[in-house]
Amino acid sequence: MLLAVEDYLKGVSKGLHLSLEEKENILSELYTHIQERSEELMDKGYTEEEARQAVLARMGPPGSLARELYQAYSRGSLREGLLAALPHLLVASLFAFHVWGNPFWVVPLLLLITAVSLYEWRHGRPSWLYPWLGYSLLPLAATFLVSLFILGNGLWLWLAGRPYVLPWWLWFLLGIYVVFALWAISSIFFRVVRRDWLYASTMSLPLPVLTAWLVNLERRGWLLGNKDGLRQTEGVIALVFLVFALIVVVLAHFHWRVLKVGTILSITPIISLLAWRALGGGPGLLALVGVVIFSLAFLLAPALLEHKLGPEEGNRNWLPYLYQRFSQASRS
Amino acid sequence: MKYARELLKGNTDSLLLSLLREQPMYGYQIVREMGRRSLGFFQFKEGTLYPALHRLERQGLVEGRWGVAPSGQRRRYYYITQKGLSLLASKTTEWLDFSRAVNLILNSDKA
Repeated sequence: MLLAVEDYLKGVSKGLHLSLEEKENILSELYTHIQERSEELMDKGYTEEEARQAVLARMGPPGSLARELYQAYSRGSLREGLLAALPHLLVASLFAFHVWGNPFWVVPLLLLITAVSLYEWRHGRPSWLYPWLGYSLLPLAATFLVSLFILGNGLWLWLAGRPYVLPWWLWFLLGIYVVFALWAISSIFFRVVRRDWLYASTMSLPLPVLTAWLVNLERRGWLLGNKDGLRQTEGVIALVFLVFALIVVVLAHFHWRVLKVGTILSITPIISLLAWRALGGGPGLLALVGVVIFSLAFLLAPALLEHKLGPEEGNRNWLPYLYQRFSQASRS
Repeated sequence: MKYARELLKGNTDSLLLSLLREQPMYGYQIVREMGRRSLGFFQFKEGTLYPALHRLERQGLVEGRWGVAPSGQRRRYYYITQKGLSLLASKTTEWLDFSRAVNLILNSDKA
């Protein structure tokens, strides 16, 4: 019988997609409601089992209740929407003013974004944080890839019996850095996914376009050195980031989760496709289909990961947890 | 009955704010009070009540605080805020004007 209440609370928790603190608050309230209503029915002659079943039946399916509660929290204010859009706007202006390669502008901006992300990560992780978090992980991801490339290159030279330039201690440090960066990125990413995969997808929104951009630049030999070629692409990239800012504002405005998911999954592949063509990407059908599939896979991977990892609270049994929480509160 | 459900849906916020104007209440107390005062006409389901309360809280119209009842039971009490009072005043005026106009038309043949 108690298992039914536990299952009910777990069912609600699974569909909430909210922070752990918000979940605890909601489930505590539902738990006190179930308790009080059951006791009242038991006073009227119901058995404990009958009383709990009647209360749960009246509350409706846990999935529906979770969906309704999610909608109560999911719509952000205009302020939250604009805050979420701000990093995309800042990056768009870097490209629009042709300064995205200038450390004088890029380094302070990345430092600012990282500082905001760190502060908000430690202070309740508001819903507008995730685009900021995505950009703050970019330097870590980029240096991780460069370090991995250097290490791989060194290993290949060593296996081929050819001399390599870097001293052993630098290899060692690079190895440590690669492990650290992988750990930091994956642990942050997994925590975001366990809260809500949609936040992880929002965080990764620019990555398919950035990848398409880099692949195109490399294909045309513009990545290293061709300033005129690079400049041709900056307007398109600035426009794409402006569209991302708009998407983020729209996402914050929607109540319904299905609309949020639909928007992100339909618009991002189209933008990637348009950006790919505008940046001079190959016109072949295979390339276009590849860009769409790559974008969708990128955005949907967090959903699969969330299914695999489970919610933020793990396999917590809510009844003993809430009982202990209430006992502690009444003792204090 | 469907019409009554639609009417209740459209006026949930006003009804909740109106109850909370008198005193802070917790969820189950609201369900009971709503049924009692409407002579059983309004049967608030939890699936409607809690999402509505949390939505009102997010909008700053009510504020939820944990408290302890005289029985020792912990409950989450909802308090109406100043913003909630202002909204309730405007919604009440709107509803009274609307219902007066509807009554005038519905009862026009009796006049």
